[in-house]
Amino acid sequence: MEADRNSRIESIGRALPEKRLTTTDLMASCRHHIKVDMEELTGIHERRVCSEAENSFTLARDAALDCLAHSGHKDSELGLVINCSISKFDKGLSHRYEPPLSLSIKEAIGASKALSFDIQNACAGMLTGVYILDNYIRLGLVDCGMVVSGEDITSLSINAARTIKTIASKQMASLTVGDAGAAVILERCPRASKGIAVSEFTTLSKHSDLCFGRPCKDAPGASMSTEARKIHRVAVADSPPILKKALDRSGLTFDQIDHVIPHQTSERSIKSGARRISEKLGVKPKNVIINLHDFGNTASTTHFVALYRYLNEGLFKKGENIMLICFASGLVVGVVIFTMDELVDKYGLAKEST
Amino acid sequence: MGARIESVHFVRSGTGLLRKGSIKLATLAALGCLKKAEMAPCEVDLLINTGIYRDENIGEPAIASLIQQGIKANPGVNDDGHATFSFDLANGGCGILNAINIVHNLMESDAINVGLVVASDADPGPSEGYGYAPAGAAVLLEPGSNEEGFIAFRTDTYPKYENMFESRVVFMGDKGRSKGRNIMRIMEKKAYMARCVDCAQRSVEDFVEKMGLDLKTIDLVIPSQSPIGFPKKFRVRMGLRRSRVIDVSEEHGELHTAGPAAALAQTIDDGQFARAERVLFVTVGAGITVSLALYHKEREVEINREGLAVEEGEEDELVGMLEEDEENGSDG
Repeated sequence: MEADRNSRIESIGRALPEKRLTTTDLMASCRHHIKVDMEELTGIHERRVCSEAENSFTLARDAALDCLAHSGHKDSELGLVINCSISKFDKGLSHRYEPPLSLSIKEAIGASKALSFDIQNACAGMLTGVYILDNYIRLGLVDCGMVVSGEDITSLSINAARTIKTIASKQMASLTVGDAGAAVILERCPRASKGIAVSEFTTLSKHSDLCFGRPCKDAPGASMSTEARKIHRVAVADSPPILKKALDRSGLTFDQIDHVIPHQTSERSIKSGARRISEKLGVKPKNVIINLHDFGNTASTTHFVALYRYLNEGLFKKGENIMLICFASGLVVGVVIFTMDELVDKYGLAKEST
Repeated sequence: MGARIESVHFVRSGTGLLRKGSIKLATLAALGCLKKAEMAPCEVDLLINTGIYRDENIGEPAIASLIQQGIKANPGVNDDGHATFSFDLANGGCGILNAINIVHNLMESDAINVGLVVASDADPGPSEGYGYAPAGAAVLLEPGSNEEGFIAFRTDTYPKYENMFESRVVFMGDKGRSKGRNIMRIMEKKAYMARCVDCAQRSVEDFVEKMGLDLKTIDLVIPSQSPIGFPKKFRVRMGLRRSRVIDVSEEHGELHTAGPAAALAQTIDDGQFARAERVLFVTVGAGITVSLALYHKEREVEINREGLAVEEGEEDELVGMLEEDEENGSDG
């Protein structure tokens, strides 16, 4: 495969509901008193929550439009649009199955000619979309495309708050989620050896029964039961060889990664997971990003919500190696490694100075 | 060349106590497919599930991961480094071809060697308007050669018909109950079928022209089996012979995402696939979306080329069917 056909991240977009819900207020809304300092445990101070007019579709659409506003590509140039959200609400808490939301999103942003379909892979959805789109670009089938997701998932929290009685409840993880939309445009990389070096995914299906999300039995929206501690334990135990394989393919070692962005679940689990994986790999990355304080766990969008924030805050430098890691229901272990480039010029102070 | 069809397996659910859910149906179809190919599950690199109507309307994990677990395809980390990746793809009746396209592309890149695409639907209950026969199908794909494999894919969308078919889970308050419940509701407008035929005709004619082909040179058409009757209406509209456009609705009822694979499985079983050189897949789904694929292979059995289009003497039958088609489709 020709090196100049690598794909790269050309722009990122984000959409957030205005409404905020603090962890303090969420815990106060629980029907039963839960003896835990949830904010201290998770590092989540607040999360965004959809208003009545907002849903998975509007968040995805608005993130896609924001992504296009940061892009050098026109809407009509997108050859592929993949929607990857777990939630597919488009009219209140009415969850659409057919037609796929990707069809409505591409029409709403003016990308009518793009091939479109939906992917569902729990919190690994957007990175799975990147894996598919990257391949389309590497083969020259499309010059650029978009991976997008809108997660309207705080009904999980509302439904959990009604039923959780103790910290041992399988619905505790439902109290960590937040609503957000994110979008990313990939394009064919103009230079050799830059852009997305590796996208590597494995599903460890023996752990596929550790987290289930489905429509709530007696209330609008969804509910989720998660064996959070077990997921964390098996992810930390089983992922090092998968991460090592991805690093080997990229020609990098873990300590050559400047920023790791893991899936955002809780601060404690990210820190302990990073420490244990670093011990197993013998070296540690320079920086591990935690972006939970203001947003919580926004499911399939977490990596791009974090990238968007820290691009705007000027954290990244050209030439730095970024590693996105997902641990998602399935259990999916996914890794995307890319080199930061001119993307930094489109955000925050860098954008204002150009 | 990209992907080649190695094996296909179709499974129908029994009724009553023998009724099977969507995950079980897909798992049985996948196992049947692997058995026909004499392949071990651990050889599967990628598993894509394209079913829409799944047990309990599960949103996560991907149903594909539960199917992967059901067939025991690399459920954990292997010492030899071999792993399976699974995910779901949703695009109604076209999902199966979109998934085959993804497998095909990854094979073109030498990223994978074995891909398994599965599709199954079963009433998730409670539901309104659900009428699909519970069934599952699987297609096992391996890298093709110059002699055999998919050679082209095409997808078109016709969003002005977006509201002609909708399915969604909505919360309904129940009279006489203290609480409501989430219900799967399927709404299909009467003219949906006619518009599907319109869209498929437009896409197929353009596709065939751009590929420099004549419909007469296509030996076999594998169409969607939903909306019910689509294979017949499409065949009549295009003026194609009954024997070349596969319709399995009499045997199996209305099949949704598994429909094209069920039709394909039948042609493999009855020898039609072996006699074919060019096979055209024509799928339709909500959107309206039309996905097409052209498959080329060397004939395993030599036949006299009869062509796909009708010949003189067959036209009387067609005229009657076209009139019937127009009557049914005039409500749009």
